[in-house]
Amino acid sequence: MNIDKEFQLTRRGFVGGIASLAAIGSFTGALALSNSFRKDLLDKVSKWNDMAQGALYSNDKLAPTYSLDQISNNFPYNGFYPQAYAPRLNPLSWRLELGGLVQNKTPLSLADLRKMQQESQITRLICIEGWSAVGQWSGVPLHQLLRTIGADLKDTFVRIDCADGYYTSIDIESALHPQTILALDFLGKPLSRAFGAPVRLRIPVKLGFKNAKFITGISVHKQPQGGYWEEQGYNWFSGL
Amino acid sequence: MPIHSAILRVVHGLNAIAVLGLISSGWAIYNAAPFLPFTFPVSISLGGYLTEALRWHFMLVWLFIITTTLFIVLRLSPLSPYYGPSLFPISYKAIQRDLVQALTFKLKHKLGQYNHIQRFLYVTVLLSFSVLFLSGFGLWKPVQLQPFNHIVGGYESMRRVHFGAMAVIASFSVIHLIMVLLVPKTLLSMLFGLQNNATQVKSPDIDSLLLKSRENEY
Ligand code: HEM
Repeated sequence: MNIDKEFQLTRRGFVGGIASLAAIGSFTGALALSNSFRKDLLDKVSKWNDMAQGALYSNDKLAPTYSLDQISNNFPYNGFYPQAYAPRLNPLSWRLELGGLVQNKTPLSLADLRKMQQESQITRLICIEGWSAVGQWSGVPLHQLLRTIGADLKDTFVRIDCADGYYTSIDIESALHPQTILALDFLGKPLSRAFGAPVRLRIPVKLGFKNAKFITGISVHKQPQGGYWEEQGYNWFSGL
Repeated sequence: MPIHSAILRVVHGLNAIAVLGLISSGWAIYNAAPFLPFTFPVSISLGGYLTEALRWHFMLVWLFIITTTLFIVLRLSPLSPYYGPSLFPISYKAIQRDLVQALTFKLKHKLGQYNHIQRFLYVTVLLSFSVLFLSGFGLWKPVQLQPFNHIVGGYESMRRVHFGAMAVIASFSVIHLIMVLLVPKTLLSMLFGLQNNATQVKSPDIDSLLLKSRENEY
């Protein structure tokens, strides 16, 4: 076949072109039609991305910090239900349950946490949705708490359970990051209800959804623990 | 000799798939927290919603990186056997001239040589790809790779940069398609690897024909 005088379609070129179109067509078709094929592929890539992020991660890198006048006004509320449904916890009877690979499992009260060394930070919380906001949090560095309770720090995962049924988990490296804190205060005042009272995780090396609110339990495990959003497809590592 | 070698055609095809997928999954990511007064239709956003769109975006990112690197190595390094027509020089005057010719359907397309519109567009693409790559990594790792975001003044500005570069690439894709449709043999060439007879100086058939005609002369 002559396209014009100079350029000619060859049999080999034609067969190759049709074969590539067919290959792309059937791969795309399989992705579109088979939910399990698509899910398996995307799950595998997400696992690979966990690994890549772990390799890129360093505990020496601190998240950028900001000055008081850079703090965002009207810090956004976000959650898997409207603000009005946020759990109401009694700060006096509240206890932090400790579990898994830790030596001292005696539950801690809010007063116990207040007695420990406190850290304050002004950092940017970055949501997986794309928005971000600067806030000031203070509380107990998680590495300090984990060491105090004698947690197993070697190749483990830290799981956080919450009063609203939410849970998440993080790699031990990120849990030991100097800026990872169990926050008790926001903008210098005890956390308000919608923002996670009485205790939330503030971890500036992870996306917002890892900063669990209304914490009721912390446990340490050898096995990966997943999480509420992670089960629905958010990437597990989600490091920043 | 094929005008577009098989390996370049495959790499170009996979790169195009990656880029179109990144654009449309990016739209679904943007929809989750839009910073402009509009959102993109769910029907043309790969993955539809945030969770699935992010999974696509971070799969296609790998395909994008691999194919873009391969393409640059194969096509732009002078040592490569696939080193292609030059992207330079580009002159503003020549772009104007070519544009007028294209709009009046008079632009002569010489396969194996780029007109100035093409040069300008392809350089723009390479620059936007670099911006998308750097801004994408800045957004993905705003702590580990924080110097990236510092260049443009932080995470929030970087989101706009990434989005802007997407807009450039999306516009390019439309123009690129229009230009291809104006010169359909380029599409056939990319799909089926047309043979360029003009460069086939020594075709055995022609040689034997010549021989015959000479024999007749004697
Ligand atoms: C052709 C290449 C690419 C295109 C067209 C593209 C397009 C987009 C678009 C339109 C968005 C939504 C923007 C927003 O709402 O902020 C987005 C988000 C994103 N992209 Fe890309 N992208 C490309 C390559 C990359 C690469 C190489 C990376 C590197 C890891 C990357 C990482 C990200 C991240 C992390 C987000 C989420 C940011 C956010 O939540 O706002 N992208 N992309």
